[in-house]
Amino acid sequence: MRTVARGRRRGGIVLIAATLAMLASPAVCAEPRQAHYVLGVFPYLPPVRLEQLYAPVARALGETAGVRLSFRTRGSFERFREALAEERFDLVFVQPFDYVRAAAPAGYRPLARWKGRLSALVVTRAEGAPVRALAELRGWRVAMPPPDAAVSILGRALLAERGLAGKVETVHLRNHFACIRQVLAYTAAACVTARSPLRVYRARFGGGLRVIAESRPIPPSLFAAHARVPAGIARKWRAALLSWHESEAGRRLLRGLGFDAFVPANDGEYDVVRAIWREFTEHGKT
Amino acid sequence: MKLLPRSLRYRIAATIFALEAVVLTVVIWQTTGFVREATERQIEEMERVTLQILRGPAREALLTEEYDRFQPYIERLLRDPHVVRAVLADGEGRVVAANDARLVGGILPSLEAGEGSYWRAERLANAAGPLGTLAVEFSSAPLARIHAQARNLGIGIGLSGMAVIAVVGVTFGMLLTRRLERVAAAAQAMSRGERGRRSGVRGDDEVGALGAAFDHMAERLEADRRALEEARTALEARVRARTAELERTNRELEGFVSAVSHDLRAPLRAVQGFGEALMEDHAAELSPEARKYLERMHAAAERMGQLIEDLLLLSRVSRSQLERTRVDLSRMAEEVIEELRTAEPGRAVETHIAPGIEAEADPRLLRVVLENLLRNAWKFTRGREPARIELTLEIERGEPCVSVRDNGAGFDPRYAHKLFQPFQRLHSAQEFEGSGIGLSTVQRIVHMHGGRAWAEGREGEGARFCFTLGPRALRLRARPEGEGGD
Repeated sequence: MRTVARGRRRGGIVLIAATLAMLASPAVCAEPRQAHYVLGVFPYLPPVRLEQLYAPVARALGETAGVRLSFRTRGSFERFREALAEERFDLVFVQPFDYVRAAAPAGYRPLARWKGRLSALVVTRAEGAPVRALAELRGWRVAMPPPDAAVSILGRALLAERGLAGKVETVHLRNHFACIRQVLAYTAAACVTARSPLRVYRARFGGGLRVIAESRPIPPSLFAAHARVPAGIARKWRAALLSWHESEAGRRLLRGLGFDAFVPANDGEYDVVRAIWREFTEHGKT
Repeated sequence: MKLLPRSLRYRIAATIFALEAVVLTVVIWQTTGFVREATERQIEEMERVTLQILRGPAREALLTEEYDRFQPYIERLLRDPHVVRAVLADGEGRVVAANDARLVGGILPSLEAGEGSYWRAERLANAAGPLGTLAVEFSSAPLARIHAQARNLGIGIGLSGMAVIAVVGVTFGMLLTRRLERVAAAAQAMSRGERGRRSGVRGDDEVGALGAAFDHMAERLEADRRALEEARTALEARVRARTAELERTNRELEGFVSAVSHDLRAPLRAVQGFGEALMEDHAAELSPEARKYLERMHAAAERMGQLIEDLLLLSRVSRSQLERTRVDLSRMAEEVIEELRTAEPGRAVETHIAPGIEAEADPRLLRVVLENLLRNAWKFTRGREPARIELTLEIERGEPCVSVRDNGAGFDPRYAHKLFQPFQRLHSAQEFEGSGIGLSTVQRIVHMHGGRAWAEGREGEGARFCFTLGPRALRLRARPEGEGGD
């Protein structure tokens, strides 16, 4: 009996010690490591400029979801598409053609898109421009963003629709700002750009530009979350994006990006984009 | 120990050298310090600029995760020998680009300064959080080399400057002191008696002014000396002329006195002789009143005879040549006292002559002095019971003097100064006989010996006459072994 009683006491002590050890263990005491996600933004502006615009967006979305969300981009559309294909990002802000070409196939699901529509704008100098209408572009040089940019695709489609395919010299530059500078420097008669970068450029460097033509509108760039992102977090991101226009902090972020508001996005909206891309690739409109 | 010669030139040079050494040290220290600080700031600025140049590409590489585009920047950076390593790490601390391929993929190395190198690092971040770390390891060698160059340059400049200053200081000191030495040499020559020596130093500076002033002073001194010499020569000539005149006058006067005395003695002897003959041969025929007149005439003739004798003595004394020899003054005084006792055996006079007094003096003249003083004491103690006369050797104002003290009639001290004048008497001839020439004779003899004589006394309380005979002329003879005191 005495042996049994001593054994029970020893067992109790071991249990208490084990409990204390568990309580004192780092696993119990340390705060859980914050989940780390990556926001990838397609390189429609220089990376550092994109950082200025989207790092605050990443912070706001990360704080909303209680996660750490870093901003990343790539040096080119091609590399960005490669990163999409490699599923390097958890949340992306991607142009519509890349969405249909790479993001959607890689498992990214639409969350929200810019409220407006995306169209390619053909822009010349407001004064002293060598051409005043799209038809006058024949034989002139037109600057465009990288060939894979949505605007470039839309712009080339527009030129083809107007019978200018192969009649103008197209030159692709690194980003929208570079295109605009070509026009201002008279090294290109016109440039193809989008409304958002044009607005940002005008805000930073002033006017001096005139839009002479606009392509068919398509659903614009969108935020899409990868399927691996927990649904709760993706919902929080979506809710935040859709509500930014309702708060001052949100509006400040939207103003920085050059957007008015985000609206819900779904994959079906981008069928028109898929159609344009299919037509573009099948008929090789350049 | 004297570290430097006492010459002014070396002192000037040493002072200039020391001052300049201090100033140079401070200036060079400050300058090299400033150069070092400026260089350090420049290097630091260069490092900062390096990091600043790398910051953009590094940020872009971190944002795009395209690290291969950043690699050329790092490799280009290493062309600078100042750079040892360059590393770019992502937000997780993982090296994503480095000049050393072994570091890529590893953990960012410790950024603490190592042996001969140190790190400059910049944490890159944006609103969304940390992006990564750009770190460049710089070699300390260029900074150390610049420090060494600055130090060596400072030491070189300092030593060169101090050498130049030393040469300039010594040269300047020589230039300055060479002229001063000429003034000093002239002064030393003048002190040796070369009165015609001049410095000849001229110029507009202080040394020139000193030389000119010295020469002017020497000229003035020489002129004054010549004037003084001429004045002294003229004075001496005048003194000689006056002395000769005085001597001639004295001789004439003494000759006159001697002649008069001699000439007076003959008729006086006739008066005395005929008076005595009248008294001896015709006394009975004379009335008592006539005899009384005759006696008074005889006494007067006696006094006149004594007066003539004393004048002759004074005259002889004045003309006599001083011949000093050692004289036993105590014995001579004893002899005089003995003569006085013999002359007046009826008088009871207590005398005390201190024994052993010796004098370096003319014995004949000293005898005259003692006779006069002791005879005076003998005379003026007449009527005193007991009469007392003492002769001692005393010290007055550190000088030995012979003192003759008595308890006689004394004198009124107000007239003490008259005692040594000829024919001056403080007592009537009826009271105390005398010619009034004795003390004058005493004083003349004492003066001839280079001494002095003086008198002290009070009326009715005795007198004290003292005299000296010049330096070391009076002393007390050492007593022979076994001779007892009184």
